[in-house]
Amino acid sequence: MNQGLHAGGAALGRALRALAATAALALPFAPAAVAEAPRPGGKVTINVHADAPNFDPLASTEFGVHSRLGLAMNRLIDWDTGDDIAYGEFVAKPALAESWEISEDGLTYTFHLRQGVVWQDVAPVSGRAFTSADVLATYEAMRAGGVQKGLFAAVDTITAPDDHTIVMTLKRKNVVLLQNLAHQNMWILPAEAFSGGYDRNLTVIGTGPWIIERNEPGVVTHYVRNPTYFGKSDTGDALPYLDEVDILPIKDLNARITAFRGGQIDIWFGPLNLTQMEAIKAAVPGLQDVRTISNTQGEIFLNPAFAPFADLRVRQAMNLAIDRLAMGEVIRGGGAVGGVVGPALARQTLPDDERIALYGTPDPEKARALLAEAGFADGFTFEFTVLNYGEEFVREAEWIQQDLAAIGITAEIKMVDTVAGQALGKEGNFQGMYLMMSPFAEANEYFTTHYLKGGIRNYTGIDDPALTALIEEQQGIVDPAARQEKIWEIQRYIAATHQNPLPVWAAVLLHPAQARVHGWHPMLTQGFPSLPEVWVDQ
Amino acid sequence: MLTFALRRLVLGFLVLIAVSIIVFVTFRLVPGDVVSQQLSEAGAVTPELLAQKRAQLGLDQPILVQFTRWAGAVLAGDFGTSLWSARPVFDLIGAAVVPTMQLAVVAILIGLVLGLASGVTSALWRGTPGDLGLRVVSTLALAIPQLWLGLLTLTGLAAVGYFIPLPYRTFLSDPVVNLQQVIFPAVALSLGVAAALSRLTRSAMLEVAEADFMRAARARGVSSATLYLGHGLKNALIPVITLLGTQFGHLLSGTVIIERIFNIPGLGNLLFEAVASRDYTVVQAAVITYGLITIIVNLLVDLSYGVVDPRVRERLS
Repeated sequence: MNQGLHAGGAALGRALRALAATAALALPFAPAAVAEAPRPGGKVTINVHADAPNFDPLASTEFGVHSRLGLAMNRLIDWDTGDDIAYGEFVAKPALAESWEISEDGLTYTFHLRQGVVWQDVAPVSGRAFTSADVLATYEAMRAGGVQKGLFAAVDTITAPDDHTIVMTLKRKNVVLLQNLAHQNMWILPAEAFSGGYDRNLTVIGTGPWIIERNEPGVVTHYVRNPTYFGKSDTGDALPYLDEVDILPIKDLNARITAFRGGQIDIWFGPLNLTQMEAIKAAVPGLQDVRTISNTQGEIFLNPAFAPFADLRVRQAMNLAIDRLAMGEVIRGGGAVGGVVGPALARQTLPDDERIALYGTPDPEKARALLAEAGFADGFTFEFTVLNYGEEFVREAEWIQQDLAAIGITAEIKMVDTVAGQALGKEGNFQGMYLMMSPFAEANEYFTTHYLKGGIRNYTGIDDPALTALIEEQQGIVDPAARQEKIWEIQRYIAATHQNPLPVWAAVLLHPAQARVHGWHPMLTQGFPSLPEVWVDQ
Repeated sequence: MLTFALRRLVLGFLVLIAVSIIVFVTFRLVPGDVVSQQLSEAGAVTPELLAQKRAQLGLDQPILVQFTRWAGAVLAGDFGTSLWSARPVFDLIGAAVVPTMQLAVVAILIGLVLGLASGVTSALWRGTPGDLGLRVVSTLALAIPQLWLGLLTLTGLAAVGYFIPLPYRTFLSDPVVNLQQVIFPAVALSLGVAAALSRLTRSAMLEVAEADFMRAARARGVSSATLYLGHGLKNALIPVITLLGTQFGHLLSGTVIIERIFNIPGLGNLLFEAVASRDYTVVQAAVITYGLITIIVNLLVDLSYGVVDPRVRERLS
């Protein structure tokens, strides 16, 4: 099927188109200029295609939980959003911490907390003032056994010298600490949540822009405006603008599309392909077509316990066999070539041309030569475990299967559900595995999970002291330009030395919104950080 | 009659025990667990934290220990808490079973009315184009998968500009909205039931029509309506009731897909989510609930034979 696309010298053209597409997608499509002043009031409905199993932010990393908590809670530091900020670009924005200082040695962080902030008027906290004791209690609980525990790996001590100051000392330099504190799971709770004051599985008490008035599992999470929220717009307006927000857990894709077409959903969240998008556009006048590069990418893990994959030349051959640009264009209709660090992290992934040279320039002849050199001139057969992330993902696996067949490698696809696949990965119980990587927000997350011994995504058992040293070194580089260079150097090293996993493709991610919605800026992190500034004109 | 019912209940209880053991063991053989799912999106989770979470939920214990703990609690009336949501399983099942039963009962009623009406009509019109048309329609309805029918209903309604209201409302909180939300999925579920009933009713009616008592009644000058509905249909009901019982089970399994398509927070949706998240306690409770409903419905079907046929009643007595 794709052999025809390999031929014809179209690779350069495709590369240029992909470059242009990537550049265009780095920033969300700017909505048409709106001169109107934001109007307070109104309601929007968002679909999130999963329920919140419970509301305890320490219990799970589920997006169904954290996307809902974001409307009612705050972090110390938040992700800024706006027309000039790319999806996936972390720009620190003061939230519960109004400002911070970092000592010269990079080992002490002092956070000055916002004064005058009060908790939502929900018993038993009932609107009392927010203080450093709340931050301390939350972080200590997270460090003791929350899903956030690993984000504090570099932290030595956390103290609260007064009601409005938090001081953190580090065991070693870690320049991603600020971003860790802005991580999508790092919500600050009242101290009562950890002293038996209330059940944080069921009750949400935050300092955020809305209060959860009603949560009906499987039906709706209904929010009303928090009158005591501290947020202000750039022009000094009290935020949020919206009086109400509904989050609907519509799980079936067709049901979501129908609801969006019927105006029952204002802001789309979740998977959607370009064909479906075109059908929606035809039915919804004035729809805002917001597109970004997906914060997840397909990756092929090659288990070195399976003899052929222990040879770097075989892994390099497989990398050269896959025509990612053609695949992404045909199956996804857009997106970007994957990288060691995913392309959604526009400032940390390798530059487009370099990433395309490494992963987007197929060369079947060279691939065959490498296989022959490794002693597999006649090819080999392996079991290709594919996690079921939906129709397009499976078609990608089938495309890869055909590309590998062209160099003599037979991939026998074995479909498994996502939970089973992750378990097989952790057990090392696979030969080749194709999966969708987690939505990481920092290069450091890619490195530490994939390439450090014991890393939760280190399914191939990489344990390379030189690489470990490089990863630890980048964690301590304060200068942004120097750190970016180091991050690029690590990616080049991994491509040259390990080539495992093979990054494949990050699809175009669609975030349609109804015409009545203004100020909507989708962002990689969960919790809809731009929602307080969203307003509606009906 | 009572002895018969008790015997069936005891057998049903044994079936439930067997089902719970099979589900418990087989589901744990599937790779992955709730902890890996809960922490699946995190980059900063350590293996130690995974082990800590598994220990908290008792998933680090041998399977026999896990089963005896679970079975002991269930026998004491405690279905435990959901591993996924930490909510009491009994509450989750209780909340989900109501929409499912409402959907199933409405669907079975629609299916019953449509199936009996078309079956009797088809028998009365035997050999005519009308009979042929009804048989073709019932064959088609049997062949169409519920998934496709559900999606077709949803998109078809949207195409004519009607959108089923959201979010879901219970009958008690908003009966008008609730009926709009239930009637279309119920129709989608019921067509298969109606088709199966129609075909069986037709053949049963035709068989009964040749019976001696029908000829005798016809000779006595009994009107056609009384003959077919009063004598014929009543005698044809035994196989129809049997089929209704088995169809109820099929219909319950169909709710798993239909509830997702129509966004109904029922038992099917709950089970689907629980399987995906490896929420063992909820899966076991949901399967037992489905089993219990099926056993009760089958018992009612068996008992109803005595209501429609005095000979059966005498035998059971």
